[in-house]
Amino acid sequence: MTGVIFDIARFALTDGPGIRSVVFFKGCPLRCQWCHNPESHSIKPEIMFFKEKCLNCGLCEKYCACGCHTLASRIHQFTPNPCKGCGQCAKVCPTKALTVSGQTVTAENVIDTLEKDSAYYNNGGGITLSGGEPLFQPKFSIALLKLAKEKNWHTAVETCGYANWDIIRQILPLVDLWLYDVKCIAPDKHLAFTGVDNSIILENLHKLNETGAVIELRTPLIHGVNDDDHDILQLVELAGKLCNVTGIHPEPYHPFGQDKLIRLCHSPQPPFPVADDNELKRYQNILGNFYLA
Amino acid sequence: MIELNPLERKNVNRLSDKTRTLATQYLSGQFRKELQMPDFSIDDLDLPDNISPIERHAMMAILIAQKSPLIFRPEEKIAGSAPLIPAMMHQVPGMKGRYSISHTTADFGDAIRKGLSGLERELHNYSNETQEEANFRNALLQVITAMRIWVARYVDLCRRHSDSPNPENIKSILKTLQNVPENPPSDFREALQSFWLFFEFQRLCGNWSGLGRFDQILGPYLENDLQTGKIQLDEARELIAHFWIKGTEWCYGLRKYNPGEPGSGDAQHYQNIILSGIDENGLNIENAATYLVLDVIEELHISDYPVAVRINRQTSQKLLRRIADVQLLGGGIVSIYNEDVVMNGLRQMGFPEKEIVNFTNDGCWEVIFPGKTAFSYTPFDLLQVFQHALFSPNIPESFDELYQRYLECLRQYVKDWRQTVFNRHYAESTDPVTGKKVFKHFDPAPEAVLSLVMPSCRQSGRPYYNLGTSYTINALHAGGLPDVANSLLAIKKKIFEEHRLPLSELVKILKDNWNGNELLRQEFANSILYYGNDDDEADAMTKTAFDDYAEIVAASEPIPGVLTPAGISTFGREIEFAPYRKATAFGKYAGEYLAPNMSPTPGTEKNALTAVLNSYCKMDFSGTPNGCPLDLRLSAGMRKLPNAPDILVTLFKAFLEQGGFYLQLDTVDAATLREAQKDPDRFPNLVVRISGWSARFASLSKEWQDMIINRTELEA
Repeated sequence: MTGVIFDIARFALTDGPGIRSVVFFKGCPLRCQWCHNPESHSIKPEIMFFKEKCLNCGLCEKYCACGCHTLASRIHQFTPNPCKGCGQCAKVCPTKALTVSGQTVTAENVIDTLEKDSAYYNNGGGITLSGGEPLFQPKFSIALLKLAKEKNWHTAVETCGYANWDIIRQILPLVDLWLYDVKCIAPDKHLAFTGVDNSIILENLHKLNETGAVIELRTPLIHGVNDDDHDILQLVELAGKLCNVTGIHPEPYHPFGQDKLIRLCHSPQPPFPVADDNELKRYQNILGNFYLA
Repeated sequence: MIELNPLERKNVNRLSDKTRTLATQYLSGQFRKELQMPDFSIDDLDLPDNISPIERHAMMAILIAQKSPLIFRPEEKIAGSAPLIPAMMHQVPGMKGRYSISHTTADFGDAIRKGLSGLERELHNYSNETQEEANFRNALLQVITAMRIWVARYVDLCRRHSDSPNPENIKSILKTLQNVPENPPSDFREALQSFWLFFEFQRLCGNWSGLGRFDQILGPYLENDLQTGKIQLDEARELIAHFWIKGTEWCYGLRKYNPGEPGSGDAQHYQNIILSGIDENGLNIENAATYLVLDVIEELHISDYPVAVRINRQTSQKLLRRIADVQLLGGGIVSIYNEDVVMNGLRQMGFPEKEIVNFTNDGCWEVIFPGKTAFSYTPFDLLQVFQHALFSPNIPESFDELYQRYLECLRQYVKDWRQTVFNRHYAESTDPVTGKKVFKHFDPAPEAVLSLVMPSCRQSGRPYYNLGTSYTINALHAGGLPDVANSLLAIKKKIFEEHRLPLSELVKILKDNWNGNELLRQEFANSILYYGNDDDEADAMTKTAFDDYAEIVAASEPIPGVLTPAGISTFGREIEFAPYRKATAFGKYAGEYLAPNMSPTPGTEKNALTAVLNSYCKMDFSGTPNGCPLDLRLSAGMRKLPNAPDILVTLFKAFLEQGGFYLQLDTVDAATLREAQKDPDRFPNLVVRISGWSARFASLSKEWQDMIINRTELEA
């Protein structure tokens, strides 16, 4: 069983309890405008170009079969358009200015890497599937979670919930904690800023709650999009109705995704403002008892 | 006023304002200005020529006791100071240019329990078999006299202060001094005062001993007093705080006002303290003293004494949490030993079980036994040994040939070192009558004062340096082992597997410091995962180099009466080594600051912190019984996580489970360090872990500050 991932982060401290290793799946059905992992959107492998590390040596140009790399006037230019993601350029790049985002891996390979830190999963830690969207590759998710459960690891899945209920139902017994993203309650805003309707997401959330699964809501709070008092109060109201939701973890916007868009040679999105300490306090106040640090 | 910990967010405020003020006064270097040059010297005594060196030193101790200035501040809860400049310079006051003893830990517990009168009785009970023994024990009796004189002067001084604004405190001190250090203490306060006086007198005479197992020594007195209601926790904490504050009396404060001082920090006198660990019955020591010490460090953020906690699988969750709390405040003041692994190494060296449980440390992490060890160590740069092999005229044709050549160079180095150690302890000549090698009385350091608090010396009738202690240890500590392993790995893969270029070419390029070969340098640096990334191949190479080093040292010809265990440490010497290091095959330039201790070379760890810990734990530390530390730095942002202490506890447990040896953790970020470098006045008490010690950043020279900033940045 293989899947496509773009990273495995070890010693992750913010994607569930304790010390965790996080598998980042590549491919996502949403296109949130604030996304901080834009390399996760497409399931295809993509080249990321770290211009500041480039010595303009031209090795990539020599090895690229698609003509994506040119050294016109001795300055390395990368155009991702005809790129097939073969990764030859990254292989020969001496400074690692070129890397491939997206590897096809077997579930066993991933588990071997996760195993390396199993000594740290005691005391509440474990593994988290994140992305991208783990439910976008359901068979691979199930394969990974089964192997993880054989090892008695605590498992968490971070999802946007945009999937067939049937998929969630299958994965359900293998998951100890759901980190469930609700971007916003208002349907029109949701569609405008993420590209999809949120009715499936909310429906799945209610169903998930009914199964007794442990759920932590996660909400990226974006200034001018979904962070006014009314938006947050709607979230609180939703959480209040769901008896198995332990709380809401606000994720204030940060602009790191901008950098990654540049590395992917995509045009950067206009950035959103970064919330200051006062704003963070306001989030916390409105979330009240539902606030999760 | 000094902010005790500029990074502290929590408002820890258990100590009285008076005590906190006293701490800031000491840390500012205010009292250091009161230190004096002695206005007396050994020549004043007009001693007969035939007096033995040890008795001569004892007479010096008496003179120091009689003439040293006394400093007593009425608000201090403990009496006794060491206000002589030579003592702070590690010299015997009044014996010009004579260095005294450091790098050991006396048995202060034994001294306190017996008191001067008990020590005196013990010395009288031994029968001297030779004139030398008689001279030696007589000298120790003189040291007892010296301490009595010194303490009596403090009693006098206290009496003269009896109308001070603090009469109650003076009364308590006077009452305490009426019993100790003369007799065994009857309560915690007396035990603490007695501990301080034994410690401080050897310090006043220029010795820099470690303190040993603080909670094992004082815990029983404290627990007893708490039980009977003789003392409350708050009062006991104040007393311990004063013990900590007085330990900083030689601090000079900000370096910008003291440019001539040593660059490695203003408080670095090897005054190590050990907490917890098992006792002789195999039970964990965790008592009120253990926790109060951690309270005091948390609140005052005093970095000298360096504190190491011995932890094991039975260490309570509560203690692990407390260590985590303190470590999260930054500064790395508290480090940890995995004591099962340490004791296993000692067991394999053949030490008896009853000694093993009692291990303490010296200076940084070097493992010794308190009151029983004369210790010294030889640091050297293993990378230079390797580079000597690599840059020799004949270029090796295979990887194996290169490796064997390196091992040959290492064997030769160890052989030469062994001869040097032998020569330090033994004369070349043989006794004409017995035919045995003659014991060499090399010009001994003035050793009477410290020998008094070494039970093994009292018993053997021989002084500290002349094999009087149960164990004389000269440890060999290698720096740069990860750099050697990385060099080997790069050459093996790039030259002998991938055949990128002949070794002769690479050698030329390295000799020329990668000049004009930036692409190749980048390739060598980036296409291989090196030690510290939990990469099996890199770690296997490191383990081979590690094991072979340990084996070569262990196979060294024994020196009668002298143990020569191996360790792996740089002790911050990556600065000192740098100018002699050529460029390395893993892409570093000549003269860069490379791996500290057994930690990865800065910039080569591309993976998570757990990967570093895992790589380290793959080594077999029974081969390095004298110490092999790992430095880890967590990002300062970690402090903000609500579950940060739990995360640290989990790290400690994994460190235990995976068999690490010694771990020092700091939480720091380069941006804060840069600010502190620019504006020391804003961060006068910002403490950072350097190597085996922590120091105030503002007391470091620019060279040392830059090294810390550099390695912190490379890790980010």
